[in-house]
Amino acid sequence: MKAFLRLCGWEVRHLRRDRQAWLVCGALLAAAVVAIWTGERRLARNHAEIAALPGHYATHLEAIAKQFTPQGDSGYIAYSTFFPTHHAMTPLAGLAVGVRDLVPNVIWVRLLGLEGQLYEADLGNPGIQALGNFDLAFVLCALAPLALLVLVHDALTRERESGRFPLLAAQGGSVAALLAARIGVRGLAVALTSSVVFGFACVRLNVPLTTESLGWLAAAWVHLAAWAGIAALVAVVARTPAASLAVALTVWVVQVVLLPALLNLGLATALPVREGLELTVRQRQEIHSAWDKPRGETMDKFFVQNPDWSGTPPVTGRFVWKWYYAMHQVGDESVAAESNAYRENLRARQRITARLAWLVPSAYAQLLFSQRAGSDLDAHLAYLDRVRAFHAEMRTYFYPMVFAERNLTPAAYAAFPQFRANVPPPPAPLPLWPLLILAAGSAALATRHLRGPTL
Amino acid sequence: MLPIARHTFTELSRDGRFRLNAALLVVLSVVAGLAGWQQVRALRAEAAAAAAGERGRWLDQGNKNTHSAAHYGVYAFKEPRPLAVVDPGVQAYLGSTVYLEAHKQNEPLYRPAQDGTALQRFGDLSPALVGQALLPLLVILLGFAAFAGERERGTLRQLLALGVRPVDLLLGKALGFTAALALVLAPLALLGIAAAAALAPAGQRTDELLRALAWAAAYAVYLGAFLFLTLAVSALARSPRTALVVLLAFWLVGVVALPRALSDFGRTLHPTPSSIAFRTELEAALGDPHGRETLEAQRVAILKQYGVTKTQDLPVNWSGIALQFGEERANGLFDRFYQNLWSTLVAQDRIFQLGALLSPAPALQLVSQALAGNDTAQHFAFLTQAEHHRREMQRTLNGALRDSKGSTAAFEWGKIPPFVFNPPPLTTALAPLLPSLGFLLAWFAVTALVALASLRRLRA
Repeated sequence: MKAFLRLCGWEVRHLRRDRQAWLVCGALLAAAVVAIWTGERRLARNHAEIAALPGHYATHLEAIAKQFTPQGDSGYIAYSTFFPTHHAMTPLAGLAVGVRDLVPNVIWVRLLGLEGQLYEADLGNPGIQALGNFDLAFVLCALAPLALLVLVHDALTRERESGRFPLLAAQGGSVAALLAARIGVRGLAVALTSSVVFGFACVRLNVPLTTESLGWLAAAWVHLAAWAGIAALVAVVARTPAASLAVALTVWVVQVVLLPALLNLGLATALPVREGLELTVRQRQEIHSAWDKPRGETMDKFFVQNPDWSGTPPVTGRFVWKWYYAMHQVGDESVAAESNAYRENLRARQRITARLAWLVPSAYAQLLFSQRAGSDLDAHLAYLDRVRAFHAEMRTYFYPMVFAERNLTPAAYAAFPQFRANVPPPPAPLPLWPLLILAAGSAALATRHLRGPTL
Repeated sequence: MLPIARHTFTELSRDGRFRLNAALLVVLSVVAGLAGWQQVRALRAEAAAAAAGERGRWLDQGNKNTHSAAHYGVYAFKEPRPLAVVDPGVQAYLGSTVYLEAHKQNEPLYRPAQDGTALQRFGDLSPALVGQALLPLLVILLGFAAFAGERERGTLRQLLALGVRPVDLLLGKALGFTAALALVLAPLALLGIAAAAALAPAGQRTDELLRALAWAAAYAVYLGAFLFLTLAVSALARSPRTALVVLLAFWLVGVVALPRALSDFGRTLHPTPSSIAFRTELEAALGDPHGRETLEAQRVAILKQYGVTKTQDLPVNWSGIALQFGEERANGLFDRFYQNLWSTLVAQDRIFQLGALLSPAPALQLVSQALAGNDTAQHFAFLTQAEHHRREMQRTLNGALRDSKGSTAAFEWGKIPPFVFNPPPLTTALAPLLPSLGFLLAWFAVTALVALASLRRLRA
């Protein structure tokens, strides 16, 4: 143990004099600063958008009040009012965008059928979105492993080339210990650089000290540990420095570029999700066909699911608001099963991705980061669930008035239901142990390779 | 020169590492291409089925009020382009469906990317990804030692002493590498040509085939630039290791990091307006009381024209006129607002285009997407055509409503033609790309010149 610590001390001194190492860590730092800066801007835009919501809503209500002064039909007022819902980015989402720039941050809902209102996208530039983001998660998932590989890929080949190997072996030193000390010290340097960067990001973006932010840091370390194991394998398999560089690069390209892309492709081919469109088309069909049916038929369908309202007077005449809303709700209910299946399908995608990513540390780390930042698909689905709950609340609030055909004065608008953004914590955070097992497994393989007859 | 080329090629074709890497890349791109093929066919079948269903429902509306039908609306679908097989471009990031209804220009719906996990930000595997990111890497790995390695082994001095001209050495090696790389690029090109031939509708086949050929040519120019760059660095570098490190750093920054950074940079410089701000302003403009006043003036003028005092006494149905008036007023506003929005997106794209000053990758990405028919501009063409269809549809329906006074006959729903997207032809698609094409060719020319200039260092 003492000998190992002495080795580590020697490695630290060696590292401090290594210009290349300083350069690599400096480049990583610079990339991270750029990523944090863009993350800061992105968060500021999201928060400004959400901060502007009450203002927009107030203006909107004023316009409605003007239209319905002194009073108006509650059904017509509910029809005209859009209610804002929002999904604020957590500070960590500035560091791991995940899917947040593809899905809406704000959805305005009306008392009409909900299914058609959930899948609209924010305005965005498809060409720019397709390129991905330069966020801190990208720096940590893709660039930090590369920095580590650059620093340690020739840990053994250089010794072998300079002829110090036999010397070391003669002194009774263990090659494995040397490799462990070198990779340990250099991996620590990269990990510390990443941690400094993360600390800086936390200060700039006001990231609170929570289990999520600590989990982020832990994920960054564990991810690098997995890569250190892979780097050890790279270091032991190659014979010359040039070969070890080629191997390191190949491993990086396969792990960071190819396998994640292959996972995506496989998943999109194996689990295609296209129900969103069918849902809306069918729901719309249901709603519009109701115009041509006897009113009573739609009402009866509605009463089956919502018996509380069956005592209200029957619908007569061509247009009554309660019939209109019943028709919309029947439209929603007719696609409820498909809607559930659609969401279940999306969640299955997420689960299977996480399982398949066990062997692709960068992909797994990306999932870890975006989950802890609340910027993954699950977080968006949870937001849509909150919108659903809010929409149900709207129905509970307005139906008694609509079914009693009551009028409303603008003074009553203040009591309208409001969306509350109580974001629940993610169900069960993705575990870190798959990466630890990967780290241990590759380290063990590397050690076995060292003991083999090849040395 | 030719013997050098032959020698370089033979050496490469015997090199196990080259054969392994090349085979791997070819297999990957073919697998990705076939998966893409499958997806294009599935998406097309779905779009066709959905469009047929929509059409059937539309024609089967019976004796319905034409304005109710206008509210019921139709969905316009965009079928995937054949060359999505080689470069899906922005396909997953844009909606392939627009809902066309009365009074409203809608945003496209259902972007497949919205249903993806956070992993998709790594990019999708496609022949384009192989060509844009991995083939340059292959070029670097093959060529970094071309001169630096010979110098280290001392064979360079021998060759020059034998009287071999440096220019012949450069061109010979370049030719040899090109022949080897052509073996890898050819399957990609064939994939594109096959997709264009098999998947394009009859009327667009020539256009798509030209696109496929131009697509392959663009990648050849791009890889040529990387080849000359690699040879130049190899001639200038003191050791093969230095050459490799310099080239890899360029690849990492120029191909991997830069496009993402430009994406964020573009959005920061030209932020996309938030949906609410956009909609609130649009709705405020639509609800402007001025609209109601001009409509009233119109009503008075028409009453005067027919010499009556009440709209009920008009020989035509006033609501048809009023609705069409509202449509036309709104159309002017939609044009103004969407032009504004799109010009922001174009400004973001321009930042990306300027990134070609630093690396050939952004230029190739834009050219490749556009040739495949999957860039933002051709997406806008779909939206523009869909919106045009919507306006024509409203005009016809409102006209029928106007003339329906006293008649109980059902509207002939077939009078509204089905929506068909006509993709812009190659020349139109290429027009906005001239800067990118220029950048791409400039990269090729400049790297070739630098490679020639670097030959002076060979004798040193």
